[in-house]
Amino acid sequence: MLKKGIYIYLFLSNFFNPLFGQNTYKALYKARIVEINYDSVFKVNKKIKKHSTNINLSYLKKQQKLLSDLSKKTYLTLEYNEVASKFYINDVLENDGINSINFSNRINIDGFYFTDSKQTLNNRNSYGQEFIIDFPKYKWNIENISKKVANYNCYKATTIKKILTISGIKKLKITAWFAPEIAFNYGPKEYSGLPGLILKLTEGGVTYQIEKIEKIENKIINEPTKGKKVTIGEFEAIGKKMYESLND
Amino acid sequence: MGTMVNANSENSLENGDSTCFEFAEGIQDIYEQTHPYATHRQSFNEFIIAYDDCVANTQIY
Repeated sequence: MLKKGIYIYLFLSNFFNPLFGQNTYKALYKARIVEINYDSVFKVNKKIKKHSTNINLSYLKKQQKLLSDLSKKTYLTLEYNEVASKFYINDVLENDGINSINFSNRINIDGFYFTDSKQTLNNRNSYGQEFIIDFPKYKWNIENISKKVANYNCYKATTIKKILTISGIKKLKITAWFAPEIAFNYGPKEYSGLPGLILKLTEGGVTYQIEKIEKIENKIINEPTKGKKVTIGEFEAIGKKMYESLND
Repeated sequence: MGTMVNANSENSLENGDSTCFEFAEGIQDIYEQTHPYATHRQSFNEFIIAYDDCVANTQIY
């Protein structure tokens, strides 16, 4: 009787679970940051020449080496199922002190990104405050160009991202390679909406490439709820204000 | 090593070393010149990281 009750309970609890009959997966990516030839930049760029001391040069080279080492050992995780996805940097970075903050700043990832059919949000702590940044959906241009990424046949797609940079609004071309045979429309950071998982993505000087996909225990991926909800434009405006206060 | 990159770091600048401030300004300027898509937040953080690194590692100067 008890056994029968447990079976009924398990059936009903699964039936009312939104993940019933679904699988959750974990895709692990690595980020590669384009390296800068500081020796050459110091010689050519006139604005940089005024800072071209040996101290600055050796500091920048050392920083670049640390970031390169960190990018080789750091995984970025995308957990996903049919309902939602969550993208974040693995905890290993917490052991690397200020270098991890530097790495996180260079690839512009903090907290975690949540995507479902309605929205893409980034929950992050910046300027001593929790934020939930709401991203717009991107319109992709799918091209008839394919290549293998991690043994999956992928197609190329591009979109344009508008960024409020220190020298005004600029348009950055984002290139994604997605695999139609992995029928989930997620990807790194706020990039999603393609008919297949994004396995490789280039955003400016950073390229994310998949290393492996694992099936994990079914789980509910929760939408962030704590933090001030802002658009990406509003969040960038706060950053501009902080930047200007530093230069005052 | 260093402090968290957030608004609180600004307080440390008030009492900080002017040499480190100048050093961080230079590193921030180089970052801006070499990263054309840098946001204000990223540039601000680059300054704080370089400043904190300078204060924590006196061997820089």
